[in-house]
Amino acid sequence: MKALSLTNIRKRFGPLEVLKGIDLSLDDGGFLVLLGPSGCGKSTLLSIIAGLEELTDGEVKIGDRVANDLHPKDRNIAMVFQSYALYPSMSVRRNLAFGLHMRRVDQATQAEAVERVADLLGIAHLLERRPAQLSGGQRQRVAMGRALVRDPELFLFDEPLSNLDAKLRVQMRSEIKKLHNRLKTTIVYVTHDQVEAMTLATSIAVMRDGEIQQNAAPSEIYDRPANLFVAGFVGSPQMNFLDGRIVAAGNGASLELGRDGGPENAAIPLPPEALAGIEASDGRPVVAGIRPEALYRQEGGAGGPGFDTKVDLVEITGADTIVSFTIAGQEATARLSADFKPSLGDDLTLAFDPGRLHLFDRETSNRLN
Amino acid sequence: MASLKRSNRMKTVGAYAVAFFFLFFGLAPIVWLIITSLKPEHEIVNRTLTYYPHDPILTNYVDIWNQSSFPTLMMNSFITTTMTVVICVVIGTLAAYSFSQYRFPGKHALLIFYLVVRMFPAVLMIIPLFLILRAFGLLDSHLGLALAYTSFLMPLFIWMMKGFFDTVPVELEKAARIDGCTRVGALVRVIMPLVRNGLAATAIFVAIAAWNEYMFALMLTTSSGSRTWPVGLQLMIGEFQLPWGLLAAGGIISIIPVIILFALVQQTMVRGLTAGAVKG
Repeated sequence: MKALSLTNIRKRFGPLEVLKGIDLSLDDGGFLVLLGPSGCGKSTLLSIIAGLEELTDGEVKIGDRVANDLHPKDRNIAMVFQSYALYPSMSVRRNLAFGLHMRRVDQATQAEAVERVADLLGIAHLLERRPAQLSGGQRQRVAMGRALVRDPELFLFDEPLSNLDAKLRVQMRSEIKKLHNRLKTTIVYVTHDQVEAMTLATSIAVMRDGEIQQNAAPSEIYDRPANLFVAGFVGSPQMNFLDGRIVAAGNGASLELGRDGGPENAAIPLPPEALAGIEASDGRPVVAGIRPEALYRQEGGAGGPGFDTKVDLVEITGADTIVSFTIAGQEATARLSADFKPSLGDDLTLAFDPGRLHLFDRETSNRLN
Repeated sequence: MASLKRSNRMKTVGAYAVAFFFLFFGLAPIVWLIITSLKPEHEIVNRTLTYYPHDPILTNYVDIWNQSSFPTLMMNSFITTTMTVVICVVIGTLAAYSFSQYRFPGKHALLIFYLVVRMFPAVLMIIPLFLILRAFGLLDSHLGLALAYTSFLMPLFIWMMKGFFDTVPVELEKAARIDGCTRVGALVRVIMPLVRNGLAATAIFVAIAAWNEYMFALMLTTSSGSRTWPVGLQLMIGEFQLPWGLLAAGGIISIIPVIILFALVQQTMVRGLTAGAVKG
């Protein structure tokens, strides 16, 4: 059964259209991440699912009920907010029980549910405190507890980890993952953090300007981005984008890097598998995308297609060495092993696995291969 | 070193001098009122000025309470003030909350309009208000006067309360709605407890303004059935007599409720007024 189906969701604020026909669905027990830069409409979409914002057009279905006209309280959902939105005047216990109290659940069941969730999240010792007396991480747990206590059909998370420091964020991220694995809850999760999206989701919907750019499993998003935006948004350091052309050469083709008419063009011969699905129109302008980690140092002659360049900048992160270089007049980076410590200006031969080369149409910016 | 110390001391002395000057300026009339209210008639109207009553008496207090309509005046003021505060709290709270948390067409224009209303002198509003109240048969009634008061106290209430509501995160209402509240339910159960101090402070401002108001009460009430104490007190000044002692005693009695109110909620009020400024 689909836990959530969105059909042609549109939202207009006056003349401004912030959602332009969103279609999405989520299976029971799925973890959907809405990923995108700020202003892309992802939080508005979440508010529409929650019923906190009215939609201009379209249909929201939660479970098998059309929820368009349902009050938030009748949608059987729970939401965790970025600012936690704990009720400052109530104790943690009251915060957790408030939703049950409002639904007129009897005292004993309330107490039981609060204890269960408090144990699950390790906040049992905090029940009598006020939110102001809690640390950021503890507040985050209480906010999650408030959602879990009601056992709703659908959980909505609105950038829940953005207010935490880096270390706590990683910790809470894995806790959310564990909770999801354990409780098999259905979650819609909004974030602009691609690492959160990649690690948590069973499915990612990348959004931009009120439209879904790609909706797929994390590995698919990473390995086969649908267009330049998705390719550039997911992955750090960012994917290298190099302007070039596909030029027919013999019975294969080669990728000629460089801007049109540029003096420093470099031709890289490509095996046919890198061009699968591309019409062999000679001289087609493309953007070649290569992730920094898809590049490796070529020693000797063997390996994939490659090119020679020089080291422009070296950044040592400890786990690996990020080398910046120029190819055909365009800047790019490579993520190389940590034991490689070149000096500026060193000669460098880099190669890549042709299966990890992404080709995008330069005009439409859509994926070609 | 020595000169630095001396200059610091001079500064301190200067600061205290200024402080005491203004304190005297503010307090002296009230002190003089108290002194006058305790003097017998012949000591008030006398060629030689006496700074303190030679034989203090409470006759003025007893007389104004027993021999004039002062208790009725106080009661009228009390009813009118209560009505004003209730109207402002109920309608003003809802209005201030909407202004603070929601987007709707004309929001900014309305807010500015409320501010502009406050800029006109109250005298300008009296005649139109008189006509409106007469049309509705509300002239010379508690409710009519209370409504007239809300015309200039409501903007004050809304602007002050909006400031308090602005400090409340928008997400709280959303969380409460998902937890099962309606919008009004969320306001009452979750938001109001957070602005309680601000509400107390604002309501007291309104109460004091309504309690002490003179001009509207003078124009819009005609009978002793709805007349408030500031007007009643003024009407005690007759053509041939000026009962200073009684007037002073009436003045003192009438500020007692205000003082009690202040004493009761002083801490809450200060907390409310400074909450926005030092919010951590």
